[in-house]
Amino acid sequence: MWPARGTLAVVVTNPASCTNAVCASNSVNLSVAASAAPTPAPILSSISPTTASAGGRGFYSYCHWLQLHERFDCPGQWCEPYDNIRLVDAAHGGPSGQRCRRRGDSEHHRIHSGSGRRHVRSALADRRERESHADHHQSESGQRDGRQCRLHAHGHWHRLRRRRDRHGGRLQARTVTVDSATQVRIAVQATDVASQGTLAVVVTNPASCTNAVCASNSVDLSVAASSTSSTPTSPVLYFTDLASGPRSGNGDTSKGQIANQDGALVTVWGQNLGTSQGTSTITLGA
Amino acid sequence: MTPTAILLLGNATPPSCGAATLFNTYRKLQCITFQVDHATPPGAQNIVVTVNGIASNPVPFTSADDGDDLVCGFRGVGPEPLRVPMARFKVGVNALNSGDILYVKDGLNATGGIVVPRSSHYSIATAPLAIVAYPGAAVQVGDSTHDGIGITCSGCGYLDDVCQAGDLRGIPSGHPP
Repeated sequence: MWPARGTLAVVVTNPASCTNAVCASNSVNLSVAASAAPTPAPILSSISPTTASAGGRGFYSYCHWLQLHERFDCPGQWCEPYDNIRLVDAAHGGPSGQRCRRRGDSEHHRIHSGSGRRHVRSALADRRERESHADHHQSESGQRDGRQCRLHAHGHWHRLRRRRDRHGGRLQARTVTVDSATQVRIAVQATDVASQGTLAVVVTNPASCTNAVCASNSVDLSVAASSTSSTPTSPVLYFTDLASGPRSGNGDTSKGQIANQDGALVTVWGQNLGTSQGTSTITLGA
Repeated sequence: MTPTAILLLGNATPPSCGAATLFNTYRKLQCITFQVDHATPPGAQNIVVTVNGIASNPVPFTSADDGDDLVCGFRGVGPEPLRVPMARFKVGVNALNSGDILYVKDGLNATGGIVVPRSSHYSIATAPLAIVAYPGAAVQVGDSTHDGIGITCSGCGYLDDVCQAGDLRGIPSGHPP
């Protein structure tokens, strides 16, 4: 039995080699140290935006977590602008020369499409799984400090697509970008928000597990009914009360006009005509 | 050509934008009331609204040289002038000629209906006549037992004129009778 922690005295005994009936050797100590504390699974604190319109276009969703993974604890490096930091290759390292991310880390993002409830799962790469399913490969590239960086992801995405989650939903791959130590960006596609419902976003980092639990808590992204999509965004004129009228001879001065100088008062009806005269103009003729 | 003035820009609800409520649960219509500038070229033109740099479809409008804009209403504003009617509905109608537009202001109701006199349509018309409620005004013509507007003219004598046509034509509503 191994102790949880402490010191073991190791003695070797050889019955064929004894002196004065003493067959045991001297003792040497073996220290048993406490195992390293497991890295806790991510804990999501928020998601932005929290609501999307059904039928809308794809967008980026930002997930923030509280617990940092050891691979992301390079202060400052993940807080740089997106174009400069999106991908960092282990071969280049950070500006201080330290190794920040190993090849293939944190670029996977999966979506569980369940019955009535879809799960967006942002999975930080499981290196062991990638290595065992290295039949697919995807790479992305970005710029850091003017150097071309490259991130490799040996994918199992196609394999995931064929699998089913516990709800019977189909797993799909989505792009995820680690923006900072506490934020990942998920590329939500239009098909993900095609209909109303709730997306339960779960970030999974297989390299960060507690008691074999690698997934975070979930945060909800509501997909609400789209607003009146039939409403045109451009101004539209439907009709007018007068088809013709004089351009002069109007004696009305109630609005500060000069008597008899200008003409007819015309009303037009339409939609999206603006809310103030500052943003809306109307012209008659060239 | 930019209009002389935009009198109204808002949701299409009465009385500002006519009698109908066209801004409701199902429709979100708006209206704009403007005045044709005297520098507008005569002939066929287009009305276009531009919002945040996006132009609407054009709506045709013919700018005419002939015709007058007549205003039929009470003079001025305030308690005292409102007690003295400057004109009546029928006076304005009597003054109409081809191409004229009669704007009727608040307080001029003709529940018994009006009849366009012979003088307004006896000859061949060259442009339409129009009777329009002044922007924002609530005017009633006819009721449940009377036609609003008739075009049968049996003579102009029966029209109850209280002022001369000249009081209307080209004279602003705020002008004393």
